[in-house]
Amino acid sequence: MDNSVSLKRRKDIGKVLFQAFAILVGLLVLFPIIYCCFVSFMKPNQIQSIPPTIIPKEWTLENYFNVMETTPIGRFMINSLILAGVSSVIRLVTASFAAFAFSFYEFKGRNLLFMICLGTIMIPSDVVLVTNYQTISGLHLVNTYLGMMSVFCVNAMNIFMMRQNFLSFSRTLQEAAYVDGCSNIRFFFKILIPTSTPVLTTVFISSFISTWNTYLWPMLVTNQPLMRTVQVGVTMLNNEDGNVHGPIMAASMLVLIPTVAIFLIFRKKIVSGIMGGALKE
Amino acid sequence: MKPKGIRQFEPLLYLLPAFFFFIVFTYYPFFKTVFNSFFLTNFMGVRKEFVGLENYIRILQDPAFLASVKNTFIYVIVSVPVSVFIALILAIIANKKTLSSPVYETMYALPMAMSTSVCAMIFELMYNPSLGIINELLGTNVSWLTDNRFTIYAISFISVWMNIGYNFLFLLAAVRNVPADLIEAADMEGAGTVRLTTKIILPIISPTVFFLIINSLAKSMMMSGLVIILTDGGRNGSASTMISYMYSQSVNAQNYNNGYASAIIAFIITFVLMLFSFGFEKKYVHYN
Repeated sequence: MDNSVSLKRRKDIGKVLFQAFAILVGLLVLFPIIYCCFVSFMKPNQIQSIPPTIIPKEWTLENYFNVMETTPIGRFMINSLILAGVSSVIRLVTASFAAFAFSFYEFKGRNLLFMICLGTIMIPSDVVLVTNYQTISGLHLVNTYLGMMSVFCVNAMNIFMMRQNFLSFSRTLQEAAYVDGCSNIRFFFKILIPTSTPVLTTVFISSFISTWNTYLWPMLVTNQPLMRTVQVGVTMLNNEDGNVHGPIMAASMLVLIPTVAIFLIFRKKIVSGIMGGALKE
Repeated sequence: MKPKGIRQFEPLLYLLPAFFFFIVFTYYPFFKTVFNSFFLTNFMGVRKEFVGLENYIRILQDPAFLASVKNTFIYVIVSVPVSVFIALILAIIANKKTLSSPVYETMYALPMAMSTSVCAMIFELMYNPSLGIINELLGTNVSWLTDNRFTIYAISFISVWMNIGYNFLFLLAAVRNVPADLIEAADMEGAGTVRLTTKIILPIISPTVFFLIINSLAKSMMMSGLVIILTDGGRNGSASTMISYMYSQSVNAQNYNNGYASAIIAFIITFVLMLFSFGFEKKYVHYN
């Protein structure tokens, strides 16, 4: 009796130790973020001190105030929010209509068009970056939200994922809707879209995070400071002289918070989205 | 099944918005870039004179471009396997479900929510020779981002870190799919963790590993953001990649001749690598 109890206790201790180890590894993985967070709360003289330290001796919000006073970080945030929010909504619209056509209709050239759609995955956006910039500047859309959003308005992976989802839509429900005299477009808006909210949310969230995080394109098509996104803005802080590390880390934290928060809240959805998108064929 | 009387153009109408963007921002610029690469262009990128392959021949003799091709390969060869390997270790640690699984699974996956520019800023401070924590922890005295010998590796490490989360999620799902009786049988025979991993888990999850390698291969071949932010293309191209070369040639130097040609070469190399990998897949990847 005693023996089995102590054995069980030993097993429990083993489990606890293992979990502590796993969490320790997690802290190691997250070290750059933790470091950034700590530095952002340090006093400037501690950041400048040699040898460098990790934990703030005195916690201060000085760096955060500094960023908010010296840079239009609020405006950068709004720009990023508009860019990521609106282009993700547009992606939802383009993807759901296209997926609707690919999954509920039979028409000539459907397979060919679907191949053309998936073919875009083979052309990396960086390869066409410069030519797209010329298109946008030719349309006089430099420094506009429209110019920034233009290249993020459609994504073949999204269409693919939604098509997979629509194909599994209950055929009986669909037929019932038609028997009741439901038109195609009414079926789309009244039945298909409302029942597909899980996949729509997944697509929206993953595309929001990826657009919020993009750097190169928004930098290329903007040159006015007030049109910068946070990602571009945070690297611009770097160009000033002097003691900028604290404010840069504070700005980085502010930029991180939205995506990390979304990631933590919607972790399950994001994971299923990535996995779903990757399962080809 | 299908409702009667659907007019042929109706589905095409629904495809119109998506295809508008596909054509305007993917296919049109792609073919235009290919076409333009055979011409001499002015500083606005406007075609002036047909020169055939001259642009390609010129940049293939440009030491700066050749260095950037080499760097891109170093970058891919270093960062892709290391990131998958670290993620695999994390997946094996997280394999067994415990009470705090959700906590550390989230921790391991979190780097995927990070952006290029924020990572560049954080690591720039960490790599700082005097104020940064890395020299302090390693007891070294290296200028990671300015010393030509180390820059590309220092940057590779950032990208390894950024890719861990994504790779981890896939590998975790794959590792958890390994049938429990196989693992138990191996346990009975007294196989250690290392043998269990190499002999049983690895062959079963090889399709996932393959998918991740292809996926990060394509991403890493296009790598440019970190280089552009951290080294401004790298003095004398010591750390530049094919796409950062394309960027600095077109945007900074307004030499679109070199810009277009390097974009297309980057595309071709990536494309060929992918084809090779699929050939490799047929031969070596284990599907059940």
